[in-house]
Amino acid sequence: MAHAAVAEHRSTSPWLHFAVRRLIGLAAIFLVLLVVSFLIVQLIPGDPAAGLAGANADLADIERIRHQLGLDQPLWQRFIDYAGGVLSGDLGTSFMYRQPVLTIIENRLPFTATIALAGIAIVLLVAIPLGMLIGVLTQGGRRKWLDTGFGFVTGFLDSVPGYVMATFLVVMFALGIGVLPLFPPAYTPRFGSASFVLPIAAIVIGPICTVSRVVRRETAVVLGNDYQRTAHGWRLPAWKRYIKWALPNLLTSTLTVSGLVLTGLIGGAVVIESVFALPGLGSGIIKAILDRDYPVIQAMVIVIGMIAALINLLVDILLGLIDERTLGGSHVSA
Amino acid sequence: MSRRRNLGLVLGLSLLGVVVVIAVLAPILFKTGADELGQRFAPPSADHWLGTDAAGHDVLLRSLVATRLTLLMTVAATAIAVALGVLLGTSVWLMPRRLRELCLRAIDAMVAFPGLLLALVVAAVLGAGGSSAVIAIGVAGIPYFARLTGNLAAKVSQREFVSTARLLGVSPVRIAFRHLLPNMSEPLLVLSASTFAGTLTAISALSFVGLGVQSPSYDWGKLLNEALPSLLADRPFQLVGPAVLIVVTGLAAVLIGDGLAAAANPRAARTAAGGASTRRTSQGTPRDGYLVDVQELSIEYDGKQLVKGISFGIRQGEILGIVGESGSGKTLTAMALAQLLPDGLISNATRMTLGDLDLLGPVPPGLMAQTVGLVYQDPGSTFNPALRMGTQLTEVLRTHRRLGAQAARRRIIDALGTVRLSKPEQRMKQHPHELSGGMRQRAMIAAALATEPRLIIADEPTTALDVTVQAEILRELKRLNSEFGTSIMVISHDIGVVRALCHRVIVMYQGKAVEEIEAAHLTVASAQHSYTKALLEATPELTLENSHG
Amino acid sequence: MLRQFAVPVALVAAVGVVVAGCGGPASSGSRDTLGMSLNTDPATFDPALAKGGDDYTVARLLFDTVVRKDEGNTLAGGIASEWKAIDASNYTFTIRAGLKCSDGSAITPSVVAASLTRFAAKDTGSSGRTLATGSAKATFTPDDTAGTVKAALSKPWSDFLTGLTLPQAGIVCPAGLADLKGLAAGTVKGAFSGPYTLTSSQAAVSYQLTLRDDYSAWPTFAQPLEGKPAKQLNLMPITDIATIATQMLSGSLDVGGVNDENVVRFADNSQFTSTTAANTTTYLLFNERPGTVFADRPDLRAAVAQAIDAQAFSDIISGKRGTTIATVGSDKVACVNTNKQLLVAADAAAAKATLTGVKFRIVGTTLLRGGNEYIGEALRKAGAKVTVSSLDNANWATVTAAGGKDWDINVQGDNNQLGTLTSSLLRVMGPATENGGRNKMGLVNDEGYGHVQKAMSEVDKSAQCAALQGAQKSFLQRVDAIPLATLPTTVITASGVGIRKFDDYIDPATVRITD
Repeated sequence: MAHAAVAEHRSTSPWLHFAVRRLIGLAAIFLVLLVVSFLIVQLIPGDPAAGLAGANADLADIERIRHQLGLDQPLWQRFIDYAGGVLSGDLGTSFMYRQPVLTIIENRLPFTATIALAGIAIVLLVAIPLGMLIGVLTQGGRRKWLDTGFGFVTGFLDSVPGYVMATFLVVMFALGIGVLPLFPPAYTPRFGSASFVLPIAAIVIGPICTVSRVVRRETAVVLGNDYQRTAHGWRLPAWKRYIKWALPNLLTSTLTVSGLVLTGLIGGAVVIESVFALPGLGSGIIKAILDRDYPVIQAMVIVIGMIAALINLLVDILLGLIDERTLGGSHVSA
Repeated sequence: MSRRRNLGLVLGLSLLGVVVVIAVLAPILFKTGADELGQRFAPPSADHWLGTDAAGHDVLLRSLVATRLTLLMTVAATAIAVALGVLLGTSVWLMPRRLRELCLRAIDAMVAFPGLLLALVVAAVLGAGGSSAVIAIGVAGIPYFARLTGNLAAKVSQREFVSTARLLGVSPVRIAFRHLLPNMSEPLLVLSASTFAGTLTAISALSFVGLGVQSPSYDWGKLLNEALPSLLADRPFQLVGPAVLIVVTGLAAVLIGDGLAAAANPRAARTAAGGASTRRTSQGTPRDGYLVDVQELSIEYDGKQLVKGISFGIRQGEILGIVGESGSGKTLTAMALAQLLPDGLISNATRMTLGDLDLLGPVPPGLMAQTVGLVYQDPGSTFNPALRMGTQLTEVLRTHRRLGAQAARRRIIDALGTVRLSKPEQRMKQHPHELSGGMRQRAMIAAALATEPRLIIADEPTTALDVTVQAEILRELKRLNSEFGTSIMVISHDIGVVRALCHRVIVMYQGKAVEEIEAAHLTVASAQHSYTKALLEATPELTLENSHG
Repeated sequence: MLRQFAVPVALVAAVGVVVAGCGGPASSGSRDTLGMSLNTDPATFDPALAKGGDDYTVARLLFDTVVRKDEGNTLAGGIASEWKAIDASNYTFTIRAGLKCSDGSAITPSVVAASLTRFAAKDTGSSGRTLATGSAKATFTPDDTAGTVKAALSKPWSDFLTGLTLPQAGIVCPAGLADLKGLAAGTVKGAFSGPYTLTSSQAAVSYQLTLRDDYSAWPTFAQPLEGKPAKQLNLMPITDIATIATQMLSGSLDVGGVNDENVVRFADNSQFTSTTAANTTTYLLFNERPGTVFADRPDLRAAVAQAIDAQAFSDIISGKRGTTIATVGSDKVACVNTNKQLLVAADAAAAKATLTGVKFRIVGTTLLRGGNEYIGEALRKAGAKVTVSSLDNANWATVTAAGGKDWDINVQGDNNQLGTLTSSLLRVMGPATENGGRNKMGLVNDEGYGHVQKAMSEVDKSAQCAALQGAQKSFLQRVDAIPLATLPTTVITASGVGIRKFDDYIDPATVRITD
């Protein structure tokens, strides 16, 4: 347990220490992503030049394209060019689109950012109260039916494959079978922001189930803690005991797990984007892999990796605001 | 209670059992049928319950036959993630400090990267196919497990037996196998179960983008993928087989995971005090001269009597000690008095009053808070770790006395001064973990005092403290008692503490008060009951000479 | 870009319902903007370098060709008002007067000749070059005063005129030729000769094409187009066909390609019209390079044909939309063989007797995955030991074009944009891919290739057909390839929107608003 001496030492702004440490961490993650993203595309079988040359090309065409793309250069030379470019803000030019990769990512990023950020907000806003409510209602073994029913329903929804869930939503809410056709079934500029309703709904259902189950379990643990007994002994009203006393403690453990669930949300977007025709990063990376569009794969690996790292940093900052003790280490390793 | 836990677990295990039976039998029974090519695009019929696919295969038979491959792949991928993740996570913890930090950072970076995308890239490198899908999903799961194992290992390795083993020069590998892994096995098992569900959908997602199992093999993911174009094109039934089996298996894994987690976490089983108000009134004849008057108090749980009809009183300004081993019912007695009995415990008494308050009936919380102050044993957890001391300490006053923030603050700072806590202003801004155990206990006493209660119940107030700090806290309680004349009820298993602090002592044994004695007479010679004698013989003398100085 | 989305993020949850409520199908009111689906992003806007279906779509809309395909294997005027084949090597085009590029400059014979010269140059690497000129070298000579362009081929190639209807042969204005990088990216405003210009391009999101005010080169089809062209076309890349169909049904799209069984969602729906063209044909093609399983083994190849049911293959790949074929081209292509007697008849027992224990590898593209797997399954039932690899297009193209012995049977899918037999025939005869040709089978087949060469030197249609029939008979008798089925393209249009089809070519530049 911490001692008073430690407290003195810590009070030299934990936030500054935190900021420095995490900036170094981000830089390290960036370097790792830079190297890994370069190496991994070299391992993907198939020749991007052959794909670009098309079905009617002969071998000379392919060789010419290889030269154009700089694929005939030695590996180390290509890495130096690549790293130099990335560090000076140039992510290269797409083999496929012959456009700057940056432009392609700028086109796709807003879609992923929209569903991911709105998704994260919705997951937290729904899952935490829901999980807490169930946790409170079932504490001490009360309302067994609710506990079992909750586990069953969330487990069920969690296990439905993304495509099936997404299509189900389309059938229910877009095609008007069962319910009114409320929302557009896929992204289209004609319907603007309404286009995002179903994709976000589809993407949050799984994580809501996962996170609310975690919250429900954590609620049981937190409510069993001694400080809850203290609050009880002080005869604080119920809402104060749950909201003011339990919630902050719940958030520490919940956000820790949620950070992971939420980066997974970007991964889940791959399927969702395909069903809802959202031109986001997830479908972008699949297309880039199939096209062997090296510069795009590399840039997307870096961008998605950095986004995930930033989401985790954001979670850590949130945790720090709630409870300064957590600044000591990343929630991921602490 | 255990029946409730089991319901989910039992359901999960039976669903999984069904799926496993299908996995074992279906390929033997239906393989030939599943490979036959019949009428193409047939709707459900008596011959083909779920119809046929584009090539004319029976969809139901194929879904059943695919169970074995799907389960094997999911188990294999989960095994890769768990085995290598645990290996990595454990070995990281046995590394030298610097290297460990470096490795943990690297794992952080990998965990942060979305697993499904990592799997996609790995699958693209390895080429499409069942085994590469297994490797891809397995590899993508390693960082997650490595991190969790790292966390668990961090907790376990701080325990005494590991440090001892280290000091004794036991080899790291041996420590890992003998001490770390056995102590982590339970949470890891729980996590493996929920990972299994995730792996199942991840493998089917790889099939979705065509990177999964390749023909002529087929798993649920591939069948699902083949059924997708038909989903909206008037043939939704082709999707039913694989989708239902995936959902059932995933659900089974989730239920098993949750069930195991619940079973592994008994703490969640019985929790906070209920505070359920009783609707009885005291009947027994009041006894003169007592502030607290308890007659024939018995407490039972599940039909079992834990406290068997105890009667006692506390005079104004008196310190009463209740001593006994754990399980003797002393804490329950105190909690019944404070109306804080845990859920499920039923108390009965002919009389239980505090001054003019009838504690057998409902008492408004505000009145209760200002009548009874509580001090708990301090395992470092009586204060909310997430809130500043000031926020917590002022809460009682703000809630029950309706004081403003500033007024409550001033009162608490005064109270902290009264219990002689150093730098009270600064302490208010600190979090509990920044204070030592003795400081926290002083703060707790201050909080109890702040409402000027008529009775303070101190439940093992010094048990968790160092011997020197223990003496200080006891001295503080004694001083407050003599300065303010507050009655105090002290619960302790330590007869030395009780003898040094209290005026009068009740010895409890197996739910009964076996002896009531003036503290001054608490010696082996004058004690009547053999249990009291035994307690006294085992206890060294503790004195509080300075307290009267 | 990012700023534009900040509002949707904040509002999406709250306002979403309201906005959607106000939306509704787009068909209401007077419209001059149409939404159209693409399967994926166009890889280039340079018509000469166009390679995939989506490249052709945008090339057709942005760039006009000298002649256009019309119904019944005939040609219609485009940039040329008249065209004439002097013989199979010499052609003359009369360029319409008063045509303008998108930057206002005139489209003169010199402009046309410069663009065609680039298209036909080997260094340009256009996928349409060999289709339009065979192995000949083409020279284009403009005469600005007479308003004509003369084309001379070093070897006869009677597909030349049809070849110039290819979107790859679209006329690029001088501004585009001066900036090839910009041309490929679609950023050269003055490069376009077609009815539309590219006004905004967001990869993966949408491409906005705007009708030119000064455009007058509308093609002179035998039966004129009805309705008016859309003032603006929004092309949206959507990979998932079920999603395209859903978008059409909800009114988010006006023109959509629905190439699988999702077409049934539009059956009996008077709000939609479907137009189907069998422009893709599929056939099995054997690798007969020396040392391979099927080299010099016509019996083994015939046995493969005996084991396969082309109708099953057809139903699987197209969702019951296609038909079986008797050659490498679809029925509407001129001079195709429709005589099924020339094909090997199904005979499971005979197939089993020959194929049992034979080991080989089948490759195909992921587009035909279900079909590839069916072929594998059918051959396994006949006792063969088969591996099937469904490769993505890039990998598949690499593997099958490289020659070698890495594959034995290729499930070939030919998107026949030319509408002539030659392009597909040259997959199974003539110079091999590793020698700069199109032939994936690997052997020249002198007899068959002789017929093709003869056909290409004839301007007379019946003489040409006789030669082509000979070429087809040759490969069918040798069983170098096993004809399977068509894989039709289906375009769905919303009510009030029309699109025209000429034989097996659906021309995206004929989209019109008809209400």
